[in-house]
Amino acid sequence: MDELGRSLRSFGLDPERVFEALRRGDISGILDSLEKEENMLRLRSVEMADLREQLLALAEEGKRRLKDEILDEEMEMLSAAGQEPKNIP
Amino acid sequence: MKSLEVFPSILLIGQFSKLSGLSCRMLRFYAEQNILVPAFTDPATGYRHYLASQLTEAKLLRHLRQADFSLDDIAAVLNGLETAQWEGCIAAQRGSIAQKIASLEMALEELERIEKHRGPEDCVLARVLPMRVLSAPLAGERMRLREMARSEVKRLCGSNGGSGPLFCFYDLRTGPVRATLCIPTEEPAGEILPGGLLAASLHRGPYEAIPATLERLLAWVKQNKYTTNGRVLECYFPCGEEERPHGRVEIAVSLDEAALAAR
Repeated sequence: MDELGRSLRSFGLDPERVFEALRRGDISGILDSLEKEENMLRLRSVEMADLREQLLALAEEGKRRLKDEILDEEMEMLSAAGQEPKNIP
Repeated sequence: MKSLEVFPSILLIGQFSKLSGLSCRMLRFYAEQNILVPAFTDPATGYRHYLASQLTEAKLLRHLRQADFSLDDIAAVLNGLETAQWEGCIAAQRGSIAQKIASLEMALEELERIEKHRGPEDCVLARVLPMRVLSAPLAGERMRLREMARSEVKRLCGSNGGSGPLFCFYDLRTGPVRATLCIPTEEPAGEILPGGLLAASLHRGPYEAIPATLERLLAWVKQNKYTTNGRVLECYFPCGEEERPHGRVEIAVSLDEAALAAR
């Protein structure tokens, strides 16, 4: 029962209420709640796809920024050495 | 007075996405679920058009998701609820979140138990029945025991010989440098490996850490006031782990049943 209670809680269900309903032989409300959670999982997978895309974009941006910073540093070093960088737009 | 932003009255999905903070993917999903549906779709181009006023709906939807409301509840809220229903919905969601928190707290407690009690509790008592085996002596370093056992099996049984369980046993005093390999067999030529009561533990991880698992097992035996007759048994898992640098090995020590009976 402990395991079942834990599992119910993890899906947001109150074990006491569920057991009470089961004692009455009423399963429909519980199944509805589980279906709700199933729909939630589908939503979460779309949210996950979104999050992945967002993180990939951020990582790409970070990479680009790092590259720009390195270029800036190179330019500073060149100008400190008294040389004019050739490819300044 | 703060000036209010003015939006175009009709927005394409990209614009609506930018202004609402919901991705196009999410907007399509919510439309499929009949939760946030475009005001109209151009039949010629298939472009979805949203009304600016739907931004308020999108904003509410985002807040509901942040409060972890389910799709069904979001649909119910967006379709409009009476005050009493709204209050019921909030109370139910509060209850659901509280149950999930309780479940996560239990997971944390379990994690703490796992962290604290690693080792001796992993041991079990097992009775092994006498079995007919082919045996061969193995001598060498501890680290090569498994490898030697495998090649010996191939020598004795051919290349398909390694599909069953494979045992090595040795005496605690001499250690694995002098071990005996046992392969279960149906052949009458095989000898009988006596059965008995074992204290066993499943080693998981690098093979060089097997002695540490054996030590923990012996500590468990001592802690539970059993006595061992000094025989150690290693059972290698049959397939798929030959080439891996780590894996699972059952480590067992044979228990002195006479001492156990006298307890």
